[in-house]
Amino acid sequence: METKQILSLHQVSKHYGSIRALNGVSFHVPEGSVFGVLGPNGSGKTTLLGIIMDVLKANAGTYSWFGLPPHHDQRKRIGSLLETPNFYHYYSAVRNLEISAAIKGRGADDIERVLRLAGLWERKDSKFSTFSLGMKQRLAIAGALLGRPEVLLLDEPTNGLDPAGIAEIRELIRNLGSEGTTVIMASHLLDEVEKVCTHVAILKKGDLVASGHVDEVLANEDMIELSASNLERLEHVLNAMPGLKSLRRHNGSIQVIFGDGQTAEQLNRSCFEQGITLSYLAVKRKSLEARFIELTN
Amino acid sequence: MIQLLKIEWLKVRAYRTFWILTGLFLLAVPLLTWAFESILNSTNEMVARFLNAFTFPKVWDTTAWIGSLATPVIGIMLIIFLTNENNFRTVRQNIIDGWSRNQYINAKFGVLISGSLFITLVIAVTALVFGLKNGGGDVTDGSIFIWYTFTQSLAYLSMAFFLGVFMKRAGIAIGIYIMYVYVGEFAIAGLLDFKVKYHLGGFLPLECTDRLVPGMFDRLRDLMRKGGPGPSKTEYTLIAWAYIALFTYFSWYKMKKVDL
Repeated sequence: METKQILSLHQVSKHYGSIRALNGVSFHVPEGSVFGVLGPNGSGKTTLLGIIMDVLKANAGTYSWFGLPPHHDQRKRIGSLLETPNFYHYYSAVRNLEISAAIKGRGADDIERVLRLAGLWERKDSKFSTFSLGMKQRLAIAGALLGRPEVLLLDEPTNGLDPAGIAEIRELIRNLGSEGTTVIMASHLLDEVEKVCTHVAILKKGDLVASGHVDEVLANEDMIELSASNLERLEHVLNAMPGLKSLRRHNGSIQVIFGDGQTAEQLNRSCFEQGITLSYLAVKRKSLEARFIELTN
Repeated sequence: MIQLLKIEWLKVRAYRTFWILTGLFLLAVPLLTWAFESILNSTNEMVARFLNAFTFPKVWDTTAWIGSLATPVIGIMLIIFLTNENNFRTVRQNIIDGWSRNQYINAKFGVLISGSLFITLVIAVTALVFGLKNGGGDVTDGSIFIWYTFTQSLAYLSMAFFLGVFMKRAGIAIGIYIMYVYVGEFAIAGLLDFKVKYHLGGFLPLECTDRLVPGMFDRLRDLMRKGGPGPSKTEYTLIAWAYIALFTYFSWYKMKKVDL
């Protein structure tokens, strides 16, 4: 069965003067995925999201939403939070959301639900200018959820939130994802992406370095951690093994990565045959962080 | 367009600055007119009668001229609206929420035209009230000044619009606007008229409309005495509309292309 693409980018480029913010970036976001756009600060994440929401103009390349060429009405089906919460400072939470709902042409009857969901119902009549950073962010999230959009586009959604707030938002994103909402989320917080995303695209200085299913991006890169009473001898044996990609000592054990898909079982047998009895053996999926640092360095 | 204006209305209907500045203009026009009338009547009854400034048809011109002194208040309001959208980045949000850039621009043009219609209405009603109070000729005599007032207010507001679109900071934009409207153009026009060529000042973006509605201002009479009749009302109107087209075109182009 072919998966429907919610968003497709084709060779999108953007430069600010001589600075290249995006270099021919292409990828697809499948329907129903929780898609993480990951990259260090200044890697082009926000620029990318700005372009697909038509607030920034690309210098080259095309994109399509729902398999169709860009049109402003498509944005009415997408709930977005881009970079900073943008609201009329002199208006209350409710009045601000009324304006959003009027532009979207939907969600006017949904204001109470989203404000309760964001934990702002008690402050619904307070002016936006009196809100704390975290409350502004919550209002922006409420605005994005207004009218139950098919797609959510969130740029650093947990910015400015306290730990409880961060956990709430993660839970919310996970729930929406499981209900079938497609979520596209940019973040430099790996742990955030790792915890909620099914797919990921990694950007580095405007270049796309990897994209796809989380498991694919991290495929065949399992790390095996092992230890023995004689670490020097173990290290010597491991170093002599074919297919070894990397080896490092870590807190009294050794972490190895094999390029040829060596399993823990095979490794255990090889060590035993060489006269080493392992005192510890564990398979660790390489963390996104390790992969991320490897990809972006 | 009605739908766009409804949303613009949502943005201002509970905005205090909007009500204060609108109220200020609404009060200023009749009060200023009343004050001028009182001054004129008290100085010399013969002169006042001779000028007939507050009877039909002259009352249209007089009130339009007096009212135009307060028109920049609405211009300032327009600058605040536009710079607010930039500073709060709500223009970005409007686009994200599903407006096209053209819809955003059209909504703002709608506000610009509504502002001009409001100014014209307030001035026309004031002129009518003062005219009816003082009598004179036929009411419709001189009512072409309603059109001149509309043109003039559109010129003043489209310049404010241009500044509001191109300047990021409300304070600087308002400062430039006030200086230009009340002092700058007065000085430039004076120099052009009397140092370069008679009537050349009438080709400036606001001065052309000030000459459509000369009121009790006597520089134009002075110019006509020295430099002949100068451009006609139709010519001044065309010059004004050319500037209005330019200001709105550049504003449209900028909003269409800019990264938000």
